[in-house]
Amino acid sequence: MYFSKPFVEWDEKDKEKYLSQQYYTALEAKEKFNAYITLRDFDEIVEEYKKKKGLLKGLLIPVKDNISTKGIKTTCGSKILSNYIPIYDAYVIDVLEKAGAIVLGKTNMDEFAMGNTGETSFYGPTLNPWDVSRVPGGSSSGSAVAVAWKGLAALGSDTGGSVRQPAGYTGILGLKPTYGLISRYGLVSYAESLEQIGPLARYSKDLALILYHMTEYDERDMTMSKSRKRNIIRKSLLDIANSVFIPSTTISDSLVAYSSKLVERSDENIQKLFYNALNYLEKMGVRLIDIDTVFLEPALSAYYIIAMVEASSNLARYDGTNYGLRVEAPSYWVSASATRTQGFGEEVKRRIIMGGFASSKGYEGRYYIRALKIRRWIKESLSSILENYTYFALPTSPMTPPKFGEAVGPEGYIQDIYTVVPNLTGHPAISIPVGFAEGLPVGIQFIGDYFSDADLIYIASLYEDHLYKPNKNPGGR
Amino acid sequence: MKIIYISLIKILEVDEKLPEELYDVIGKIMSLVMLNEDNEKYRGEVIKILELFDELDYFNKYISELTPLYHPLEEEGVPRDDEVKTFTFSREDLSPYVEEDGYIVAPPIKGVKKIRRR
Repeated sequence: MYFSKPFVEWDEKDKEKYLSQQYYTALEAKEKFNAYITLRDFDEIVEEYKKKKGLLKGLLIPVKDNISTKGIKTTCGSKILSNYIPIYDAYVIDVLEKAGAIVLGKTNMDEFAMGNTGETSFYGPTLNPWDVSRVPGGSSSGSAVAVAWKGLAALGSDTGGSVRQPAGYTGILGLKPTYGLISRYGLVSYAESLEQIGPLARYSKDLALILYHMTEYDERDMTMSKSRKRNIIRKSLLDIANSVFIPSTTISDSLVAYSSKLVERSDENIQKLFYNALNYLEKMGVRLIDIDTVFLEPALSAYYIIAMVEASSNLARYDGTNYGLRVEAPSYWVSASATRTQGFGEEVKRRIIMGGFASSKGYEGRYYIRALKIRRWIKESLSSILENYTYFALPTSPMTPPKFGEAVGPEGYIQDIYTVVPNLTGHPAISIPVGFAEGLPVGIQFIGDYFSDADLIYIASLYEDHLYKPNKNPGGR
Repeated sequence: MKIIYISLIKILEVDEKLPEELYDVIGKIMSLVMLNEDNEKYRGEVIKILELFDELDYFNKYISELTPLYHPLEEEGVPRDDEVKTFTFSREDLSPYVEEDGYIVAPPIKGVKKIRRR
């Protein structure tokens, strides 16, 4: 069973009828692909459903396991938080629940969102439903698979492509919103200057509707943008959901920039599908311009330095004192060291150590400060491009999903080469499926100017039912 | 397609940069116990990461005039002005209720029954 129309178009009867089917597909995704770490009890969900009101009533939403959920275990895919049950909801959960949605379960993920294959989870790897010998991408691996396997929508978080890359690898839509558009309150921090909570969905209309609710202003997150554009975006998102959206730039007046030099770094089959997707827009009147982007060459290096430095600081709190795993020992220092050494996985430890090194005295200027300067260069250059062009297009990933074990650890960092850019600059970006290479989904990524999130979802809607068939499921019907 | 290239010369440079002792010290600072076998295991991976970090070397000419960008939102956090109140530490100001035996009795808290002193 899959859902042949967006949730937005469901009537009351559909909502009641599909409640158990949503749960059943989640159960399948858990058993077949290890997409969930925690799946809630169905009876509990039914009881909650009876009390719900609002636009999202009837939507069961899978939530990445680094987004706090009151009373539901939130492990971040780590052993160190294996017993952690938050006493509060993240802001996004709060607003979605008020709008009628119900948390379906907590999805599997790379440990503390550090990974891009779904393999670093303490709870085992998530499998790609299109080919179980291949990774589904990460770090929001479970959320992507929960949608790709006959699901509707899910929540993930995107630090360097963690929503867009798994969306690309599993053939669904994934959005990294403009930095500051969505409250990070309740999101367990990995690299706070890079990450945003982002939605994944099968249909563009559902993506818009969920994002509409998520974008309510929250004063508890000091990094939330106070821009007045928030209200304009929110109206546009509702308009997309209701099929009455008028884009700020009509599609025939749009200019799409791309860099053939950057695209050349992708596998050939990716390049072919990328240009095919751009040509599809060209036929609608879009002008394509090949630009030089030397400033993007050091993006991957700068990203990993900044992410690791922020990680080494953010993860210092896990010492067994306040929450999570605690290895008992006669002194605090021995206990903290034993807790962290036993509680963190290899990739997390590696990043903490390398982040500590890159920000340590004597090396800070060489690595961290220089990475931050590169970040400014990239931000200023990309902002100036987006002043002249409507969108900047890149492949989502340079390759199709690799096999398990082929791209774990530093070997796999290369997969992030295209997705880290908007995390460094704060721009919004979307991954849209545009075809298949050897039976595996391939995505294209569009980056827009700040607060052009609704326009990006509109671009996705142009591909829907054409190059992207939302009704196509890995397991058929 | 591999961008992370590793030449022998680079490996030697990197090796000097992050000797095992330093790796061990950082591990201790980060409260992670690094066993010798861990160091051996991570050695190759650390070299690859440092190679990636060192790619920034090629872009110095573009960034010499730039300041670091710590955060994509460059909005300043402006704290509100301090409100300075005049304050004295006299017993009468702190609590007008003074028991005869010298104990200061705080004003009653709403909704809380008065606790009798034994």
